[in-house]
Amino acid sequence: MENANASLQVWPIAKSNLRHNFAPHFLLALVLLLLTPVLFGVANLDRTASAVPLEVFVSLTGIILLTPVFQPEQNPEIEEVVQAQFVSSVPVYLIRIACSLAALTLLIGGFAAFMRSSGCAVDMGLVWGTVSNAVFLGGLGMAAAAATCNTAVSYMVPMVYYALNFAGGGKLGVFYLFSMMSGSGSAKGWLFGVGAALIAVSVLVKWLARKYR
Amino acid sequence: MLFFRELKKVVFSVAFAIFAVALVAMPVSQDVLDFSDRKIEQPQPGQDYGVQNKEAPEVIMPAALDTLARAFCQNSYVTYPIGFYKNVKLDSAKQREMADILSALTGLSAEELLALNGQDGQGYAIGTDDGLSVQQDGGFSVTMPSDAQAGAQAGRISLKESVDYAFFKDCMERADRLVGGGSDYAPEKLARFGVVPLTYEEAAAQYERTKQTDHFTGAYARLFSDYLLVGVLSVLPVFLSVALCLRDKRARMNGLLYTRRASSARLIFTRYAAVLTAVMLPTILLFYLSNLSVWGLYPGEALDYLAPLKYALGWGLPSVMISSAVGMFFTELTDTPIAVAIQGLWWFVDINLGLTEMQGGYSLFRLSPRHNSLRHTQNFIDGFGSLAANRILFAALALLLVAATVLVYEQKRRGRLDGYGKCKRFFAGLAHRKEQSAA
Amino acid sequence: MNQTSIVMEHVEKSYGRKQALQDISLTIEQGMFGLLGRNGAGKTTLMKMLATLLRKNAGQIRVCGVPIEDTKEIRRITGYLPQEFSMYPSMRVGEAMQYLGVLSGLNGKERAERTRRLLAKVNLTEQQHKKVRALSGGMKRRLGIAQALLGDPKVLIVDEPTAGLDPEERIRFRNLLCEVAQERIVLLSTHIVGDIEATCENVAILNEGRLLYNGTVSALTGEASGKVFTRAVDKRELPRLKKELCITSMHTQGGKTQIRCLSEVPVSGAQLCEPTIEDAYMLRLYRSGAQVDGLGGEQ
Repeated sequence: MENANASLQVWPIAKSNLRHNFAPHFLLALVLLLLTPVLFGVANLDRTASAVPLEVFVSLTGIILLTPVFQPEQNPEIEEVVQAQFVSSVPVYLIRIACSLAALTLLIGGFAAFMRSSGCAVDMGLVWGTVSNAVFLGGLGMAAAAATCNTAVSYMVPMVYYALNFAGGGKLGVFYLFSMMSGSGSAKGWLFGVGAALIAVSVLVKWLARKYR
Repeated sequence: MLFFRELKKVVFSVAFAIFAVALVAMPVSQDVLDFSDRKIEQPQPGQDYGVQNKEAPEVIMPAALDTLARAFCQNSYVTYPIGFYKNVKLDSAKQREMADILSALTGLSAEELLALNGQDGQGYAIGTDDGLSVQQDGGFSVTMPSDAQAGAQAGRISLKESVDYAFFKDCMERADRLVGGGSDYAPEKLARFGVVPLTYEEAAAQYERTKQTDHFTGAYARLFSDYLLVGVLSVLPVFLSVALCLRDKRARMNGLLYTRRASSARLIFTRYAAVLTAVMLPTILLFYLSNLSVWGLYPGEALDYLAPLKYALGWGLPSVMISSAVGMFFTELTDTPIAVAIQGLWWFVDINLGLTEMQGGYSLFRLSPRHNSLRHTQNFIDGFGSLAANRILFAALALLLVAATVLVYEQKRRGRLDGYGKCKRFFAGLAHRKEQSAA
Repeated sequence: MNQTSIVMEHVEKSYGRKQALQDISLTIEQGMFGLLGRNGAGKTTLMKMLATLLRKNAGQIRVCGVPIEDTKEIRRITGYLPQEFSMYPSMRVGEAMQYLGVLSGLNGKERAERTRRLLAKVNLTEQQHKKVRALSGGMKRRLGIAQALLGDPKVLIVDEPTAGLDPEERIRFRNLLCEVAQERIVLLSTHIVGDIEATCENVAILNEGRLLYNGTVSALTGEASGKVFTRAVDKRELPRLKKELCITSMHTQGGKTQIRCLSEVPVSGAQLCEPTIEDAYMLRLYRSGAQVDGLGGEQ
């Protein structure tokens, strides 16, 4: 056959997914960011105060953008059609994840730049911390989605974790989401690392579930 | 029976398992499942009874002016618009207006005041090592520099003799508006500057209130409500109803369900009742578990053994109702889990706004009414009407939403409404409008 | 020979304790091949296995010489239309074809060309700007066939494609499949016997996970020759006869009921008649000891 060695066409896959599976979530994330200045002060803040909107609110974009990565195939009919294709689902997931991570970085970076231009003491450390939070929360959502195939549960897990932090998560140690606004914040590497691992594990779970059934 | 089938569907779901874990974890983490070490003691004469906020002008006026003047000099005003710390910096025009306000209160000219601007440590006694110290609780205390010059300057910013409290309040309100609201200068928060010690008589009266009105157990049930609503009941039930409604969709049951004979109203209300039952049964159990821990602390007193039930149903249930109803309505309307975002955002904003009325906040639209204290029964008595109105409003709103869900469901059954398509069209329309406005 | 056929040997599949397929050995040659059986007989399991959506527990399967374990190659040479075809709700017909074309590994030029050709073939050119979800059941199924053919597969697997279609759509769909089958293997599963009669030369019957029959349609029909009878009976006799005979159809006219039944021995007072494939199918089920009296209901 002429297309025996057909290579993976990353861009057409990305384009289609951006348009049909990604756009509504991206819009929601954007709405969240637009709401931030309404709910929080984002002008003339020192570093610790700048961490508040970033950690408490902007981090949530991670739940919005990463959790639904597996959602388009929630419908078993669509799942069958897609999984019977030559290109396996894993690269499609990876492309979606890459898009989500890129969008996250862009949105958070953009928002941080906006805060900076409004006189806030925002530095790369805060951006990194916020991205780490987002990746961790999103990773929790993806893992829950992969494990349960249940949309509501996939959002519930990161939300409950978030609420737990809110209720005073001092006991959570390096996994405390709001460490930068309480002055520390050196531990964000853990959040990012474990978040990335959760994302990897959830793709692996999907792959295994597909392989062994 | 339909009800038990739906109840089984709710209870044997992953979402419910997570809900149950959160329901137990939240009170445990907040230390309100076991109250046995928190006896409400009868005050004895000669004790320290703590402090209270009181509308005492002679205390409030100098304290508030002091804080405002300090903020003015540093051009750094602290506000809490939704409960979160916001540091406001005014531009020169607004700073000028602020100078006018201060001028009206102190008798100094605006120019004199503006000259102090940004002079940390040199002008008014701010930021000098010996003057200002940050206390552990984040508050400031000021000791006036003793040297003559600083003393003279400190003396420069003080209230004019002629200022009365009404005028003062007025000025403070203007200052609050100037910094964008949410500051302690707002009229309803001004009393925070009026920190005065509680007298024995007042403390004894407080105790009597708790004894007479709450019969002790009520106070504990109220505090338990406070935590459980904020952490769990105002937000998590949305997931249960979203999961239940989406489950049909995933299992491709819609086609089957739509053609069944059971009326839409019966199906939706049964389902709703199932979610409420699944949430409330363990909730009531926890209320009692927590309350039981104090039943032995008050021998000889008349306790209200129904208090946990009253608070679970009266205080807790309406929030559960509204959050489940939001879940059902938006899931049936859009076939998407958007309800999670809606309820999540509402909850988030609400609990942050609620942080400003921890000792008894019963505003009409508060999703999670606050009473983060075993004391202050008087606040509860005073706010009871407002609380009742709030709870009734939410319960009614919830039932209205469920009724709307029935309508939506009925339309879908007849093939007239298609959740996703509808919401798609809405967003398409929105995008179109955006394009137009961009053009 | 092996390069153009599907060969299954002693294939087994179970879901937990439930044995879905037991010791299936089957060879499927080029052309239309029908897989007949009741709901739950194991047809869908078998087809999903061939589409690499399920793994077998034991046995061997080779598709055109390729072992089924080589999923990548298998997916390249097979096209699959599941029982219920659906696509991302916001996609339009053309977009869905394009996207699935990408997932089939086609390059841009091939994609555009095949999308155009296949949509024309299934008569959906006019609908290509419609949302997939707005299509009727028949159109959706036709789109399903078009997408399954995108990779120009050697094997086309279609699961219950005619269920829920109106008679006109059903005939159109059958013809489409026959046309497609001229150059490849088309494996068609159905519980509607008429579909097989109209399209297939070879057929296999599955019941409770076991293979009941594998051979030509005419041989299957031949088996039933001399064993199909019709008879007019009194209504009161029906309950008794239902227990004694395998009744495949009933027509009530006035006080009398015309029954069609299967019997290994001549039935008194009954007339011998020409068997249809349905009779033959029922006979096979009957012989296997399957509970069949629920099948030949009043029509």
